[in-house]
Amino acid sequence: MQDEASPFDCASQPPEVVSTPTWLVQTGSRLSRLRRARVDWWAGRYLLPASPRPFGRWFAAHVGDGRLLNATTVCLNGVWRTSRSRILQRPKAYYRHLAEQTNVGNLVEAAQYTEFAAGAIFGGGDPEVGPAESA
Amino acid sequence: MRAYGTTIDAPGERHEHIDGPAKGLCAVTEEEVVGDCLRGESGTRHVGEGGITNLAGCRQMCLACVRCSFVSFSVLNADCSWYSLCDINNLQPPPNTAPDYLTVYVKAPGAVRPNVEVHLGAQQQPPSLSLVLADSDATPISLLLEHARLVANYNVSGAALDLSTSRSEGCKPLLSRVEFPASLRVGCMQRPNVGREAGAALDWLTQHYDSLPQTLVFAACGRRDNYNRLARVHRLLLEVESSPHQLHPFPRAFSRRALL
Repeated sequence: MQDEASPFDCASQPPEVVSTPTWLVQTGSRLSRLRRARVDWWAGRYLLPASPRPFGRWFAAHVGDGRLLNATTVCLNGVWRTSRSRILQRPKAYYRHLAEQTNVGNLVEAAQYTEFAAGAIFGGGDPEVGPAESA
Repeated sequence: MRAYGTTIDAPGERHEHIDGPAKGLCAVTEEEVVGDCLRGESGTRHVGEGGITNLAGCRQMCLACVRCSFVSFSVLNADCSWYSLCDINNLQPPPNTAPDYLTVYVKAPGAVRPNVEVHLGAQQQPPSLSLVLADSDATPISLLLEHARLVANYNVSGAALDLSTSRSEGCKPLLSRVEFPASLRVGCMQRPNVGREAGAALDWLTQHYDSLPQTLVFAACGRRDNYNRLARVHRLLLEVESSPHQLHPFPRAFSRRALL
């Protein structure tokens, strides 16, 4: 397809960091840096815990393998561009399954994980043609 | 910079959800309101109804209720209330008349599915590009319109704006009261206010999987244009516009690496 090699892009701009007393990650960092991270609360409110936790285990259970985790970078703020051919690398059931993890309430940890992992989820499943920033 | 409350696991550390009964209740539920097990957030059943005689029976009811995740049970109040969300570490104290309230986590709640989709104008072929906005009651109409203008000014024909909205008013009233640019194709899918922008994107994808645009730009729309989102969307659109038939990586002089 003509857009087969087109990049995923989350259009991030510096300085964008997620910072806590225990870990800090900047947009463009590898997702693997978040392997042991959990998001217990957001905007002062507790989140329904993802299953499983922490992020690395959730990613392996619902998104993809370790290669993809290592090859993909962090997205923030819910802005990204992708293409039909990238989305179609996964079956519809893949996205439906993730929706079932995420759409269980409005304060859910899985929604935060999905935001971080947007490049791996919406950018296609093959690390070889994964997000442009991952090279 | 965003603030998250986080912890980091020591390697090999196990984390388990609290699964034993805790004293107290999640929240007061409305009497006689059974609740919607497919789309609701809470509800209540009388003890004695449907074989509910004890906490185990109340849990059984929850297992059969898609949206149920927690139950609060009291024999004295003849109450088996269910909830999709509950802060089990911060339960409400039981009333004096029913100090026997116990609350227990049963299972993860099932997802709520989107239920309405509306398109302005006749159904057409999938657009070449869609800007999908995660919209909610909090989003100012002016911000929606700013995004709409970006797409309307996009130079490639067949671009569309698609709303994945949790507005309580629904799609039809929203599309009829907002004056989107006349030339713009606008789609709207109403969904529950769950999952934040990630859930909105996933719901939209599953609904449109069989008729996807060639290029998809997704953006969350909040109370205001924070995190510079509008400018970022503009940039993403411009890059496609400059090469409408094939997306391309950043030119060297505008590389992400240079920015970061």
